[in-house]
Amino acid sequence: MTQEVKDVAAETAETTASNEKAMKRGTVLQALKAIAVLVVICLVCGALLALCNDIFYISPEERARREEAKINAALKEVYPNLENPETIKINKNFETYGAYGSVSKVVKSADGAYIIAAKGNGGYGGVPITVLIAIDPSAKIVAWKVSDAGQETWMNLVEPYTEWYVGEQISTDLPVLSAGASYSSLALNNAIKTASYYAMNVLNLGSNPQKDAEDAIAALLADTDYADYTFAVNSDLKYRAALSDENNAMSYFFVGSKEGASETLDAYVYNVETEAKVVILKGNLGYTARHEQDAVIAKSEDIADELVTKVQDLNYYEFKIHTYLEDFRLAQYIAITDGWNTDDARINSVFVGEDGTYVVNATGKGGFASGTVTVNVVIKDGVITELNVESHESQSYLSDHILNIWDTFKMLFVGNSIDTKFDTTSPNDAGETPGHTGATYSENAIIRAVNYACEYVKSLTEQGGTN
Amino acid sequence: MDVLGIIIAALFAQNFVLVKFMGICPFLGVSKKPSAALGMGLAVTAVMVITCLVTYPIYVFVLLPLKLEYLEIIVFILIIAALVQMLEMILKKFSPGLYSALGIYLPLVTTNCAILGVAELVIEMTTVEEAHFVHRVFNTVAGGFTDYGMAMSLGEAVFSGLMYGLGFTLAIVLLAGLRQKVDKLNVAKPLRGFPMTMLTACFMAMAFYIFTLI
Amino acid sequence: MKNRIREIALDGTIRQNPTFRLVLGTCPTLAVTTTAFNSLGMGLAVTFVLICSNVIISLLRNVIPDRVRIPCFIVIIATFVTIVRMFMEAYIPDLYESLGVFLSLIVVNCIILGRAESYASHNPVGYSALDGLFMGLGFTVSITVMGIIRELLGSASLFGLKLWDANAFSIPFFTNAAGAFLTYGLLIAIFNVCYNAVDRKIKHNQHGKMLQSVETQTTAKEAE
Repeated sequence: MTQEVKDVAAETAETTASNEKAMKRGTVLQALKAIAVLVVICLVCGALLALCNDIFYISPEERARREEAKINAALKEVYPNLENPETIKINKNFETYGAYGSVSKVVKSADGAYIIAAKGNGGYGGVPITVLIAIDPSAKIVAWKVSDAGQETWMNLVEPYTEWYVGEQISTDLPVLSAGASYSSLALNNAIKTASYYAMNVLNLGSNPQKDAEDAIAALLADTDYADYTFAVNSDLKYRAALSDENNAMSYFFVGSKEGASETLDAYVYNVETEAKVVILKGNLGYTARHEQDAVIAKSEDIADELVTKVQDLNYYEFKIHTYLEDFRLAQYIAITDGWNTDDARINSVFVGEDGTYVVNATGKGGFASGTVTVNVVIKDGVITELNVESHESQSYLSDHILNIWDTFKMLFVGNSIDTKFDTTSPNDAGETPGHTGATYSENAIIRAVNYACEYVKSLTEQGGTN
Repeated sequence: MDVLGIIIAALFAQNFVLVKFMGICPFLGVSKKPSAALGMGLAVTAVMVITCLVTYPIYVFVLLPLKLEYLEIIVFILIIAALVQMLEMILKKFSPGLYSALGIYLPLVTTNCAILGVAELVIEMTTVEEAHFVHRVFNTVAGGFTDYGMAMSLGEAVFSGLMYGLGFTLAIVLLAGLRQKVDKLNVAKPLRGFPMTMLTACFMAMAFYIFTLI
Repeated sequence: MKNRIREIALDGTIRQNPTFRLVLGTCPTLAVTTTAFNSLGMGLAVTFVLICSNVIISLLRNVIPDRVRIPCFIVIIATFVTIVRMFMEAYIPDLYESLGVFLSLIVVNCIILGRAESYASHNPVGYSALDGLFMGLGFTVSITVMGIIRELLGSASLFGLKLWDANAFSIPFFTNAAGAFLTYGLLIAIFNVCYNAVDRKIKHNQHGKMLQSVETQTTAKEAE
């Protein structure tokens, strides 16, 4: 009996085992079948899609045409009378208008109107706004439209803002109209300024102040040796304010050159709104010739001599001083031609600022290999406020040692009163005294220059002012 | 990478649920309890991050060079389905509580518009011209990432995925909290259920609208 | 069979209206209904995909193994969505641009996967196709109605035609996100009110008819 049971048990076990195996095989087969079906479906669908891709293929030309159509539709929204839009290559010289913005696209319509896409800086978060501006042949702004959604604060502008600037003549001086959302208003204004600047100077729309300026320069030089110089605008407007006074605001600064000629000309243009008035100087002169009268090549009438002198001085000296003393306004220039020259040091020139600051250009002698170091010592209210190395002759140690740590080294002098007499160092002290660099000959030259400069200024103030 | 811009856009100004209308189905379905909503939201976020990490390179390195962009939808959705399946298995093993709480909604993550939505969002090209440039580049020698004309880099894509997922989570958790109170209100019979939820969502959307004005 | 078709039609358009009763496919409903034209376009695209995928899935219902049915369905649906996308990009580029990413998102539209899962995989081809057709129609009509409302109130136009001056009377709220939710919620409520009213009336009539037949039966019995 037990044997039978055992047999039956064994048989059942065998069948169960083989059933399980079959099931497992079945499951594996099932899984494989499932994956196979999925793969087949994927392949069939892929093939179908490949076929459809060919049927519905959009060629690159078609895509480009659609993009073009979209752009033209946008342009038409701004200027409905658009005919035969023609994109014009942008003149790189006028592409950017200072910090205000830049022009990205210029489209000409057959009827002479232009649509300019200008990016105006200064929007919220520093994001520039691109504005499409339509200008008709009479230089009036017909319409404008913000062309991208970079600024959602447009929603905050009060409704009539779409009327701003419409109907106005293009100008770089249109006022900022603001109604909340002032960042966007500023960016819009900048965009319009930029477009106006470009239109006036490149497209000959409206008044072209730059062309007027060029004509005035050409007229002034017509009978001189410099008649065939060509002029290019230097768009760096940084010193415009410095070179203007209440009556004459500077508008442009041109640099004229001629192939083969080593001389360049600097042309300063004033008051271009009504009429261009020009002062033309010889550029790149040595400083001794700076104040000679013939440095002025030509000037328009109505420009005061004081202004001319100011231009001469500022152009050369103030610009140079600005490299280490930004706010300096030159009031008087004193060239030291006799006296103030010893074996130790020499004073070359003194610049007096409008606020009473003295900048003394002094040379200290006795440096390494009998060389000299020329420094500019800035003294204000009896205190040394700044020190700058202008040049050094045969002072090879200077660049390696002192100039590398100049900011620390100059602090030995800066902040001290002009009554301080700085001690020269002995070569044996090299490296032991804090702040001293080891280039002791050069250091001494600088110390002598500074001491002499302080003496000079003391003498001035003792005499009660400058001569 | 404009981190702050992406964060503000993803969480508020371009919130997937309340502004772009993606991921509404689970938004309506799971949001009855804040804890389940949080779980769902985080699951979606996790899937979004991994999805972006996988689909972006596949699109740029496989589909684009082989000019198979039209297979994009199929490939993306299969990847998403596979990822959700894997997530399901992982959750089952490591967090059975969350797995049972999410119930049938976990497989529904596959059909969540938000996941496919974010995958499509990060592969945007910048312009049509540049899209063709991409083909040219691959036909010669592939350049660096930024040459591909993609609007976002891989890092930005993954970060966007994370942020958009968190935005979705934010919306869904907020709605769950509100629904707990709203469902107890005694409103007119026709308005009970979905209409009330929609109205709640309407007010939430209004609140989030402020962020688009920044 | 005519009865069955009637049932399918009623189910698709009213009784199981995907937008207002089942509340499926909410993503495109809220997103593309800013204008009626977009709604119509989306609705027709979904209908096309629905019919085609229902047909194919129904044809393959005995071939696709159960384990991989969801991925297979998805691949088939994705194929048709891609075809619709290609077609639109080539021939109706404006609609393609306005629908944007939601065209691709049709593939995860709960309606299509839901119908494939619950109807097409168990029913013959003809009925599946009809089911797809009527479900799609129900969806199209629903979202177009919503689109018309939102466009009329929000931008004072209809299918792109400006009807009156938007500045005079329009509520831009309706073209925004919040307006979408509000419109949708109210429409669901209104639809359900009407549906319940009609449903009650039909049931009332049926009940009346049943009572009548019971009466005639009992009177007939009594007569015997």
